[in-house]
Amino acid sequence: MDIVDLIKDLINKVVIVSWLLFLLTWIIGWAIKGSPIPSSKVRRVGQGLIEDAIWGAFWVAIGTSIFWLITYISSALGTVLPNPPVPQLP
Amino acid sequence: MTLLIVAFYLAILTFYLGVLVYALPIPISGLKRWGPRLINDAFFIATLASSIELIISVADYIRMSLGGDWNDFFYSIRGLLFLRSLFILALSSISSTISRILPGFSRIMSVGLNILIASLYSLTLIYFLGMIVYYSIATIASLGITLMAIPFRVARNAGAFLLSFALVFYIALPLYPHFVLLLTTPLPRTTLNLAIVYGDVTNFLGYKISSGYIGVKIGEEYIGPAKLEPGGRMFIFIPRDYMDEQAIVYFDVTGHRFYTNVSGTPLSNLCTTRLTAYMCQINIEVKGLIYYSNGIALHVHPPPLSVENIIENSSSISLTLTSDTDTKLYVSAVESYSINSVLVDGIAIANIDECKAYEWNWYNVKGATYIIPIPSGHHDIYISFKINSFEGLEPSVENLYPGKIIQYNISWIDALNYLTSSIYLEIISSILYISLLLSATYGLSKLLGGGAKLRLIP
Repeated sequence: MDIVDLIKDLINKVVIVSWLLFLLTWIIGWAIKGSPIPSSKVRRVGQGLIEDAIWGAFWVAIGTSIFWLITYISSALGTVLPNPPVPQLP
Repeated sequence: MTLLIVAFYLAILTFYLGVLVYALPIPISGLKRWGPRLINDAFFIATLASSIELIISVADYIRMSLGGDWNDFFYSIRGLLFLRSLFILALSSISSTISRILPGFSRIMSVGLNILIASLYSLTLIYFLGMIVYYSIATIASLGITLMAIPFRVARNAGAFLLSFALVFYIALPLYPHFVLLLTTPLPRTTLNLAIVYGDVTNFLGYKISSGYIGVKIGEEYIGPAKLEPGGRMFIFIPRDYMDEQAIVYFDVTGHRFYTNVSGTPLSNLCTTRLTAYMCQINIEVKGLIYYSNGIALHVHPPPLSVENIIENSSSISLTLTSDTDTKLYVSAVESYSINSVLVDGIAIANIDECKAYEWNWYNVKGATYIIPIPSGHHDIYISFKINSFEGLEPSVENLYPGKIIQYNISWIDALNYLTSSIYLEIISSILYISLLLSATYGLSKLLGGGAKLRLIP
């Protein structure tokens, strides 16, 4: 059970860090995209950062439901696994 | 179960790590590609972890439809192990006795013995693998999934290998005896396939019979007489093909073959325990016989209600018989016995020689049977005799069963074929089979994501 607690702890920390990072990346992305640098490659970098940040936020929102779906199907088939932790903001 | 919970949580951790990678402001594409990889991994592992029981029951179903049975597998491997070890014991004792005369003989025999020992090793390996996979399939599979669940695909190859090892061996290892059969059908197998039938011998009243001879008639052939071991334990070698034919077991003493409880049924149907395919326990109940020892037998017909207090020494036998009808006591003794007198309730029978009914030949021993009429009721019977010589009380050794088997014609070519096929069969077939299963394991692990072009998830 210690390993499980360790992992749960890690999950919580990762979630907190990633929520903060989303915001940061999104801001940096828009900053790069909107900056007056003439090279279009740099602007594409910015575009990429924005997209990834939005994808990440999307997956966080969806992920919990997908894990719930997997546990629901498996409990319908017979095995019972614990519910995935719903990460909370601090 | 703990392993599966750990695997599930690791999958969730992997998922959120993927999300973190998406959220990193570092625009290096090699790093960013880990994001979707980690998320897909997480879903795949979560599905695997929650459906592993289903997968194992599907594997069970496939195994049963292919015809593999774990109990049969252990049973036949145990039998093979037992026979191999007996064979090794026999060969090494032969080689040590012959090498006292011919010193170099043990060198030649040691070639054969080494190969036999190697085949014993490979059989033990298969048995051991079978035990591991059968008893801990759930543990191995869960460990494999847990390893696969570690983020960044660190232990994914190892985990996939463990999981596919467990599944492939669980399905396919019990098919090993069928595989061996496939390999051996072109090779000649001779009648040296023997089964051991053992058990206790009692008479119809429930008393244990401590000595005597057992014979088995199968079809036209009579296997016997086999001397009972000290203590009344029967131990016969019967060719395995005969175990499935109708058999009649006789208790063969003093010129009579007494019927037993085994008449006309195949022996394999009657085994009370079958430890291996080669050993069969049957308990024999002899009808009509009260007592036998050293060439004198007491039997009675019609059967009495009870016989008690059988006391015997080297010059007399006394017993108490209770019967509800008039019955006859038969005393069958070999010619070295001279019956002095028979007392029924203290009253001696007038002329013993008039009671002598017939004479017989029991293999190489002559003897005669005396019939003593006993009225119904409760009687004490006392028979006194004198043993004229202690030799020739029982048949000589060349008439007895294990001696007879050597007189069968076993040609040297047959023996050599049997030896080479049985020795090399186990080594080659076990190595071949394990490598077949291992390459199937490798293929399945590639499918589960062990690093190849065709993968279940990109």
